Amino acid sequence: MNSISNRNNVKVVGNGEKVMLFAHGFGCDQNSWQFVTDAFKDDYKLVLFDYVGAGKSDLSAYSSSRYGRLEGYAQDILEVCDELKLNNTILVGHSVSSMIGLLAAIEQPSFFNKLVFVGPSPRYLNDENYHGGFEKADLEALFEFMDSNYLGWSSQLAPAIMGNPDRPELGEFLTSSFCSTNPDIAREFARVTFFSDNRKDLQNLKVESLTLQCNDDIIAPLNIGSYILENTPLNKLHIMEASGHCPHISHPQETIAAIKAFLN
Amino acid sequence: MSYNDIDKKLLDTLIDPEDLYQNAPCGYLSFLPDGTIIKVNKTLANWLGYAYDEILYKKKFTDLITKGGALHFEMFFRPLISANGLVNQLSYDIIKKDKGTFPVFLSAVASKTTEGRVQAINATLYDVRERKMYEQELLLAKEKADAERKRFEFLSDFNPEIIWTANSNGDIDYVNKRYYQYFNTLQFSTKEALLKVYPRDRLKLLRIWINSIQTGSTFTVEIRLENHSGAYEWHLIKAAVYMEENGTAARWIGSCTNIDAQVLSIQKRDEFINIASHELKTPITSLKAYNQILQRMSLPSAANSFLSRANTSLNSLQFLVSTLLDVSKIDSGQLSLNLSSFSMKEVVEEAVELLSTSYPTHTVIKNMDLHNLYLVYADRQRIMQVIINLISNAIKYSPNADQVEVSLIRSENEKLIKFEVRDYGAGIPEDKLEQIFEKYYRVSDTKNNNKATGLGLGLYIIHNIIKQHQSRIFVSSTLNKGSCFYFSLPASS
Repeated sequence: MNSISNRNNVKVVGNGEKVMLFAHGFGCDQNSWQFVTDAFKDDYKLVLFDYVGAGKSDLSAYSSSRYGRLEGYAQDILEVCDELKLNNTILVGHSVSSMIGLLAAIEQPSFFNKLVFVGPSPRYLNDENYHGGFEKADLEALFEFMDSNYLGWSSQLAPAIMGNPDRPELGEFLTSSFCSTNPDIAREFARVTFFSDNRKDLQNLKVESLTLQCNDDIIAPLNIGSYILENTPLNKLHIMEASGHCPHISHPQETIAAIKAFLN
Repeated sequence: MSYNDIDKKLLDTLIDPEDLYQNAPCGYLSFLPDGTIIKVNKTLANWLGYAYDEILYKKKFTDLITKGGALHFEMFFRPLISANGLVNQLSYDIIKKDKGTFPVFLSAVASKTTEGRVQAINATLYDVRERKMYEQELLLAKEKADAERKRFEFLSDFNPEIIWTANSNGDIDYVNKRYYQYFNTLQFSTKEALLKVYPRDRLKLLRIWINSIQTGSTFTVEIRLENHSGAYEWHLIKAAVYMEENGTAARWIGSCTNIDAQVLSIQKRDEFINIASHELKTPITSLKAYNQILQRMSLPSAANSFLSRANTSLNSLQFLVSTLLDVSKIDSGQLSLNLSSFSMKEVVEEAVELLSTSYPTHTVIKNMDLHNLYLVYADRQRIMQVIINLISNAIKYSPNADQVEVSLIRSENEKLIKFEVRDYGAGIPEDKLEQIFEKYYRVSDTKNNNKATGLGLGLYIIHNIIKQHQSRIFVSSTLNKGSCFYFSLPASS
């Protein structure tokens, strides 16, 4: 039994030589890839995992000091690659995992062959001469909304009435996500995600990459795709017809086609 | 009539689906995957304040919710409904046309094409304004109760004693920090706490505690507890019932004070008194012997008077020392009785005779049957001591009277002989009646500028001698009228 594989609930499927590593986004786990994986499993070996703190990962391995930065999550990817001896991997990352994958690929370029960013954003907050799409107040509103939706009802009350706020099993996102996530970890992950700024890292990527940019994505506005294209060596941009932030769930066929076109 | 016989048309006329949809007590909303609203029922339109043509195909679902909700919709709601086909009980604040908001719980199901694509989403919205209000009240009440509890815990942690509380069943549900420090433990369990009680004190504690739970009365008990270094220390446990406003017993609040130092110092003092009085006995005996020899010699008449005074002082000294020795015996449980059958009448007469020279001021009236011996089975010498002491007390504490009364009364079933001494003095205040038999308790003496006199041991010794006889001494008193002390002994045939 390998500790990293256990810790990150690693699943390996498919018959190919080449490896595709799927990294889920914030608030999800590896199940979010269920609509696209079938299309690749005949040609690739697919590696799926949950970040520590998400899905069926080992929650006891979570520490705020390590996962208080995206670099901590990037270590999860590198450790999975290291343990499974993965080289020349195609890393598909959704949302915040695009930047986590970018950080991993900068640290260990040899592990990766290509990167696919699904709905990426190097910085969510607006800045001088940069439109990330979010003001700080918007994010606070989102955090507040998420807080008030644990258990599908007033979060202030739920932990208070149901007893111990220290017991995480009471506070899972039972309704607002199809993946189980510890609310305290989710809260921290949300802050790490939305307050991250990886704009300066883009220039250091030495691996080929593709951005799948959705039309009308409230999380990653259209101009973000162009920003990444301009600032990242070897990057390609594909604007999708799909709207929303999770094309791999809402528009799997278009997503599959775009990825296949890039890989071949 | 069976189900099949009912006219289906009649059933159909009973229910108007359109009316149900429009006027349901909840809001219905249908929108496209991108959020564009395509259908809304009358209830929801009224809640929102929109006319149909203002909202249909003009507003998106995300226009009705806050920015945080809209972000959540993109990140979670849409993927979730695509994957699972439904979402349950999301809590949203819905924005009305007039920009006001109201809280709803929203559940939604996806309407999918045969290929599985989501073509529309049907949402049901429940107005939860009242529920939120109740939740808020509940939360406030809970916070208030928590604050009260915290304040209590802070105060009790501040206290150097162990503080505990128990529920009305007597189950201990809280101990303060001092408990954990004292026993060097991280967890409280009643069983573990009981094991810390000195084995011989355990039953005593349990008996008192159970009795108090049953009667709802306060209690104090002294027990030994094992500290973290394995030594037993004396503790005073006190518990009081905290009543609810409606008068039912609600909780127990108790303390546990370390009184080991006090108990040890009392033990040391008693030990010292014991040794000192034993050591004093021998020189007094020889002094008395030399004194008697001197008295027999022919000395100048002035010397005889001094010798007689010296003898009186020696007698007082001997009495004090024997008093202290009695107390030592009582405290060490060594007060033994020399039981025999004897006449109480004779003892009373001897005692009165003996006292008549010392106290010529008072006449002792004897109420007893002259033809009866009043035989009892007891320790004659000790009972004599008790009776002398009680009569002399009665005289001493009624300086303005000229008589005291003693009585011997045979009980109706002839099994007990009761001795009673009554004085006509100042009496004892009711609140002091309980204390007069306590060790070292001294009444203030009116003759002596309210200064207490004596060692405060006389009644303590009497109480214990009678107790040793399996009996009890009682007192009744009326202020400015006088007091009456009495006890009973088993009659002997």
